[in-house]
Amino acid sequence: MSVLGDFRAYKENRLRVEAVFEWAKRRRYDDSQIQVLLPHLERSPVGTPTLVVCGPGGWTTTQGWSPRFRSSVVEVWARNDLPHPSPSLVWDANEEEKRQMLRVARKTAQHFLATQKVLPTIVLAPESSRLHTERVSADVTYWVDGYLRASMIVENKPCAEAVATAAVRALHDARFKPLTYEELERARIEITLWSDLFMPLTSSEIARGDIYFEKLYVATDGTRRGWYLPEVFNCVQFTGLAHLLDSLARQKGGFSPAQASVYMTEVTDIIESSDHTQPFSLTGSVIQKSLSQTTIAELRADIEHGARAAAQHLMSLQTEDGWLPGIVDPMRRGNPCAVSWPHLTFMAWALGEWAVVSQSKEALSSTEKLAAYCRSAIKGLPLSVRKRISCAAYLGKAACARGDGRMVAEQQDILVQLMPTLPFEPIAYLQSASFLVHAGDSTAGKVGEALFQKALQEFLNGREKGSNISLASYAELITLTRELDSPHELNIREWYTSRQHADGSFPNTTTSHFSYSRGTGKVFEAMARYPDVYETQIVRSFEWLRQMQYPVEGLYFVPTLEQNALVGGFRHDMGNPQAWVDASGHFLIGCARLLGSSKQSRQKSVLQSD
Amino acid sequence: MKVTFIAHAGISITEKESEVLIDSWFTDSTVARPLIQPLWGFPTIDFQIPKTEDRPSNHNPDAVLISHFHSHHSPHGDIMALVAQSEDTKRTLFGHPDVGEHNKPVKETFAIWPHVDVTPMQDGDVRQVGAFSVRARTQTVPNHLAWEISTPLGSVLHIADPIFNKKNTERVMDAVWESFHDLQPSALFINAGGNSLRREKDGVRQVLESCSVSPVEAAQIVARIRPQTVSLIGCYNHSIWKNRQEYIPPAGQIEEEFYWALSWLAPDIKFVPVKPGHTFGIGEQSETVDTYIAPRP
Repeated sequence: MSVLGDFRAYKENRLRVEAVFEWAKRRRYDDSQIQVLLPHLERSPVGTPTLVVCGPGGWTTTQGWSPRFRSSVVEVWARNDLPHPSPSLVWDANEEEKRQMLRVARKTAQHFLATQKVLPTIVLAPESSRLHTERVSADVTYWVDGYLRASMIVENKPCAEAVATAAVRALHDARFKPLTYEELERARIEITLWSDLFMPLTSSEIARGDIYFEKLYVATDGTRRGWYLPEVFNCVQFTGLAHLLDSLARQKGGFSPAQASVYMTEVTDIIESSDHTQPFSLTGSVIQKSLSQTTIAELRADIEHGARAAAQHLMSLQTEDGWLPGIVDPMRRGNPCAVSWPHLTFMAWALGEWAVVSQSKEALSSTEKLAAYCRSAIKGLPLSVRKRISCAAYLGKAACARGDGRMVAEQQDILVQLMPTLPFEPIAYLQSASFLVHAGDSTAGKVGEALFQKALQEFLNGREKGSNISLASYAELITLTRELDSPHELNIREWYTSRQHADGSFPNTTTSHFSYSRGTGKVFEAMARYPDVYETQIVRSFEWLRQMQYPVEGLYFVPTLEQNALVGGFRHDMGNPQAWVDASGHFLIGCARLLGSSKQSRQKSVLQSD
Repeated sequence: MKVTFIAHAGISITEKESEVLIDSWFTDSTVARPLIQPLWGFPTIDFQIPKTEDRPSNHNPDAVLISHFHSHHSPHGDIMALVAQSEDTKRTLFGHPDVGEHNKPVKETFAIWPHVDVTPMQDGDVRQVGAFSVRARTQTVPNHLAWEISTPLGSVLHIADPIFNKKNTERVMDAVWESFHDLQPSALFINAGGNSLRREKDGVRQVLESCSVSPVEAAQIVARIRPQTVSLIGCYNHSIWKNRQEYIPPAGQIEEEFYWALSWLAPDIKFVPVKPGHTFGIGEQSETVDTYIAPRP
């Protein structure tokens, strides 16, 4: 890093550390016991620390500690066993407390609409509950039939009172039509609580452009404030962080973004189940589904269930003639978008892989129809060489899955003929390579191997130069280095393994923190080819992907009539609710590989025992 | 049967696992929350004198009864807190005076508590609640009910804020009190505040006297009912109303005058002045009972 860059990093870290100390003072931490592990700001505590400020992954003693703030530049960890400061509902509200918060909101709102009277909060949660003593800031949001109908913030009151007050105020949120008692019966209530540790968003983070979809953003010009809660990502699609900050300042704060200071903080977000009986915890706008299983064998039922839902989602979208829309966008309300031909042919392959493992006639018919549709449609189209090659590779793989030798040979010929004319492009090269090396023809196999070598070299060069590398684009290297006994197999394996985020997802590129289901799905698909080698990574990425897969309960922000088109599909990313079919495709192939390989290993063990 | 005075006009009656509460008011005004909302009608600023230390969470009633809808007899918050506690365990009767078309908003107040059986009651209506027989009786004031709670061990009669005669200007006992003649409850709770009101009507200032029975009038009614014991209720607060200014003599003065009249008219009836937390044991003697009342032979 240059001297100037180093100085800027120091200045920004200092701002962060000051924010932590200010918060720690409010929370009655003894500041002599705060440890700082940031460059040029190192500070050792007297005795054992109670609070640690460090860079990402900088605090490894996580047992007995909990994060109070985490971003791609700074982390704040606090010890769990201190009597003071007391634990906070923002960090550790249990299921019962979450249930009580939702009960406070719902009963208060119902009662107010019926009587215009506010219920005393003591009525709705036990007298001894922390909800009456712990001060928080809270927002209550009402979703009715998939539409946002109200949202109101109340700051710094005892939790039950904050929730009750916000629940009543939101009933007359002037931005929306007031709620009626009958609508409230159908509404789903979302409650967000947030921490009072506000971390400044610095200029280098703004330049980097990462959006933290699970955090709250607040912009202030000194007197006015504008807020964005994670709920916003189900209502507005931002083109990037700059767009978000501009909208936050102008639309929510009513001031110019140039005058704004922006802060972020962690939230606890919960939403009622549709029958109003249980709370679901949200990460960003996604319902948390924590899986207790740690091995693929234990996950088998979940894998099968997830794959069936994904396949059902795809087949329900398919039109009579075989066509499949590419994107279902809840914000565009019932007008599915098309995607490119390579994507469509890829879907034919994905459905084919699933049809083989699941023995589903419906899936088989679906892949046949889609492959036939694509093959006939692209014949007369003026496609670029890259697209034509990608289509041929995917159609060839789909034919392999169906055992259609004639089609395999046809696509193989197209590839061998066109490949020499294609400049390097990782996806087309690697997909063609993986099809050709499996096509069973030695000439084609050699072409495939050459394509693989070229892609591998490009990857290694890019890595050496520190280029921005897309993880999904090169994910096929995971399978090919192993299948072709490349000396770089371990190298590639370690590189991909080290890139996985703590939540199980994989970043888009080497310079970004952003994860999306299509990218993580692609890496999952590739790793699933070798479950014995990548078991830990597969289990973690599966957990993340399952979280991104829309369950009925997770579609509270989608109009009721349009929910069916999304069930089983995958949310594109935390900030984008669109379901792209290729995310389902990667997931299906990965699941088919896992289920297929466990089927084979079961058969093998039966044979051995015989 | 055990009877506990809560505050102002509130009592709790328990026997075995059953509990009936009448006019249960626990939470009075504070600087932070001055207004006491009634279940129906307008709020008051209202202070208990003396205050109770009892809380709704100490009770688990099978029935919550109110004599009328003034906020210190039907406090919205306390009644909501009381019925909320039994949400998952039992059905709860909420008995109130039948107020015609206004019964609907009262019922809607309990819409969030489907386990509450909201019942407008009229003279002579009887409900069995756990160990108790609950009977409603009309008295001299419209939209007010007296409650008679009985078990084989004895009975309690609760008469809040009555007037001596339906015609406020006539100082003879109303015929309504005939229906209370010789009821002989084990314990009687009756108001004797003799409240006078300052009012302004059509630009003219007025003072209305004896808007509830005076101590002497109360003694005359008690002598007709002939309970074993009598205690005063309804004179242990200070209310600030939107539409009137009220004068009630200090409670000690009311008790003194009431005893002066009663001890002449019916010397065999025991007068028991009460403070919050005072307990009566009817046919039930124990260390925790302040006043023991023997069962009727």
